[in-house]
Amino acid sequence: MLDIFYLIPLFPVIAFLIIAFYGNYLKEGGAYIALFFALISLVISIYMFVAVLTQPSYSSDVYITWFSLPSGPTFEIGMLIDNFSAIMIFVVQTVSFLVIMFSIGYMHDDPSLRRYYAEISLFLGVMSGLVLSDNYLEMFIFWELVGLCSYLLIGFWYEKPSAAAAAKKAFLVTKVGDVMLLFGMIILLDMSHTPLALNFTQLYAWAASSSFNAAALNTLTIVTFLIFGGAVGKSAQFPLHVWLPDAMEGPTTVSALIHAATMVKAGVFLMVRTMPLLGYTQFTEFVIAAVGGFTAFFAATMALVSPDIKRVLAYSTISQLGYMFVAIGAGSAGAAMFHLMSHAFFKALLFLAAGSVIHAVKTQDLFKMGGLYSKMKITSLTMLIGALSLSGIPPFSGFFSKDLILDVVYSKSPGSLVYTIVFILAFITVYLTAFYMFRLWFMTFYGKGRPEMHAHESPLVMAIPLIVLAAFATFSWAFMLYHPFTQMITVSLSFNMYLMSGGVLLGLAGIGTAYVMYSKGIPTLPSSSFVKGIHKMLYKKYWFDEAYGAFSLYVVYGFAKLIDLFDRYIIDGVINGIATGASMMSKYWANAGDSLVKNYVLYIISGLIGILILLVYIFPFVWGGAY
Amino acid sequence: MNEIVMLSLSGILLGMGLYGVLTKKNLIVVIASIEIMINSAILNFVIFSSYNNNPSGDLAALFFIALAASEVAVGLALALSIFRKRKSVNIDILNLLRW
Repeated sequence: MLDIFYLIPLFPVIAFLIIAFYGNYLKEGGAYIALFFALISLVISIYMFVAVLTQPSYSSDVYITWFSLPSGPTFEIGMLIDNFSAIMIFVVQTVSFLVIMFSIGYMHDDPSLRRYYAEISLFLGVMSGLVLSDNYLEMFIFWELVGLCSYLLIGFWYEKPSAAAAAKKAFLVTKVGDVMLLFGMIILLDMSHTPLALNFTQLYAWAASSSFNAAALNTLTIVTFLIFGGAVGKSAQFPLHVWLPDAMEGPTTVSALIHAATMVKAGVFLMVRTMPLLGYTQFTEFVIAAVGGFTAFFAATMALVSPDIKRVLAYSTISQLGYMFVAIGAGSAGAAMFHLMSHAFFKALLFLAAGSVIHAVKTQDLFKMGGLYSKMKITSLTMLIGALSLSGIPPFSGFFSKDLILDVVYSKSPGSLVYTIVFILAFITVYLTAFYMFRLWFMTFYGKGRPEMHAHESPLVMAIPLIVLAAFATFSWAFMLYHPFTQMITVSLSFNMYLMSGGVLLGLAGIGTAYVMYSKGIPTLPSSSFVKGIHKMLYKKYWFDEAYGAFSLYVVYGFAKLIDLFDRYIIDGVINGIATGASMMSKYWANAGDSLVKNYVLYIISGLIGILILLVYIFPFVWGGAY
Repeated sequence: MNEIVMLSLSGILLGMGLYGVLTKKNLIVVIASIEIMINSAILNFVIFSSYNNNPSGDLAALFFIALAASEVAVGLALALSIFRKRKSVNIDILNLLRW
C-alpha cells in the first residue's frame, strides 16, 4: 500500500514537464493538465490521510540508498509517512488543487500561462516531496527547490522592476536562513552517528537513547538553533520577515499558495520534524517561543496601517506563523500542526477572495475600494468567514486552533518569565488581528461604493474554490471531534473557560473597534504628534527595509570594497611587481655580457662544472653524503 | 682497463669539441665541434652498454645518431640563412639577441 505514495510528488512534476514543453499547444497554457495531475495527487493524498488516520501512531519509512561513504553513514532518499506528513500532505494538496482551479479564472488574460502553470506544478511537486522527506538532506534539497519556485513565481511579472526586486529579495533573505540550516545539518551529521545519515526516525531514536553530557548538549543547542534559523528565513519570522510583504508582487494566486500551503509552512513543518531534538534544548525552545510571540505581535502592528489589501494579509500570515512557532516553542507540535491546518484553509480563502476583489476592481489599494458587498456577495461572504476564522470567533476553526495555542503556552507560563511574556503578547495579538482583518473587510465591502468601479462577481471557476475553502475554514475543527485525529496530533481541544471567553471578547472588541472607525469611511488621524509618529513608524514598517539597505550598503558593500582593494593592490601588486622586476633584471643582464657566442658558451660550461663540483665534492660533506 | 681507455677517448673527444666551440670563429667549424661533443656522449652510451651487458645503451645510441644528424641539418640550415643575410659566417658578429 505504501508503494504508491511516491506518486504524490511525481504527478505534479510530470505535469510540469508536459506543460513546460508543450504548454503553448495546450488549452489555457496547460491549465487543465496541471489541474488534472493535481487532482490525481490529491486523491492519493486523501487516501494516504485516511489510511494513516485509521491507524493512529502509524509510522513507516521506505527509502532507497543514494550513496554511502566507506566508513560513514549511508545517504538515502525516502519517504517518512506518519501523522504529521499525512496531515501536511492533505492540507498542501487540497489547498493547491483549489488554488490551481481558481487560477483558471484569475489568470485567464495573462500572456504567459505556460510558464505560470509549469512553475506552479513544479512548486506543488517539490513541496509534496519536502513533506514526505525522511531525512534532513533530502528535505534540504526540496527546501531549496521550493525557494527556487517561489523566486520564479514572485518574479512572475518580471518586466515590473518591483516584482523582479521582490523575487530577488525573497531569494536572498531566505538564503540567510538556508545557510544556517545547512550548517546545523552539518554539525548534526557530525555529532550523530546514525547508520542512515540525518534520517528522522533514527535521529529521534539516537536522541532518546544517548545521555548527553554538557558539551554535547551545548552542541545540540547550537544545532537546533541553526535549524530554527532556517525556519525563520523560510517562515518569514523576525528578523528575516522583510521578504514576505514584498512577495505580494506576484500574482495573488501565488501568494495564496505561498502563504497557505507551500512556502512558508515548510519552516513550521521543519520545526515539527525537529521537535524530538528540541526537547533536550530548553534554550532553543525559549528562543523559538520568544521569536514567535514577538513576531506575532510585531507583524500584527504593521498590518494595522497597511494600505494594500494583500500586504495586510501578508503581515497577518507572518503573525499567524508566529503563533505556530509559539506552539512549537511551548513544546506542542500538535497545536502547531492544527493551527497550520486551519490557517492554511482560512488564509487561502482570504487570499483567493482578495484575488477575486482585485480581479474585479483592478487595484490593490484599500482606500480606493468600498461598498463592494452588494456587487460581490459570494466573495464578501466567504471573505467574512475567513476573517471571522482568523479573528478567532467561534464556531470557526481559527477560534479552536488559536485557543489551543494560547492554552498550551498558558499552561507553560507559571514560573517562567519568557512564556508569560509570550502569552501576553499572543493574547494582545488576538485583538490586533481582529481589528486589522475587519478594517480590511469594512474598507473593501462596506461603506459607500465608488461609481467609477464596475465590479462584478467572479466566474464560477473562481467561486467554487472560495466556497469549498469557506467550508473548510468553518468546519475543519470538526476533525478534533474524531478521536483518531486527536491521537494523530497528540493534543485535544482544551476548554479553559477564561481563556476562551477572553479570546472571544478580545476578538469581538477588535471587530467593534474596526466597525466604529471604518464603517463610516476612512477616519482622519488625531493631530497629536505622538499618534502621528506611531502611525509613521508602522507605515514605514519600523524602517527595517531602510536599516537592512543601509547595512548592506555601508557594511557589506564597504567590506566588499575593502576586499577588492586588497585584491587589486596587494595581491595583484605582488604578482605584477615580480613580473616587472624579472623583466627589468633581464634587461640589465642582457646588456651585461660582451655579445660573443663563445663567451656565452664559456659561462654556461663554467656554471655546469661549478654545479658538478658542488654536487660531487661540497654537498656530500655538508649533508652527510646524501648524494 | 679496456673501459678506461675507451672512456679516455670519449673524454678527449669532448675536450676537442669544447676547444673548437670556444676558439673558432667560423660557424661551420663550431657546428662540427658540437657534433664531435655529441658523438663523444654517444660513445659513452655504447661503452657503458657493453660494460654492463645491457643492450639498451646501444639502442639509445642509434636514436641519438639520428638526433645528431637532424640537429646538424638544422644548424647548417641556420648557417646558410645567416650567410645569406650577413654575407659572413663569423659568429662574433651574431649579437642580435642582446637587444
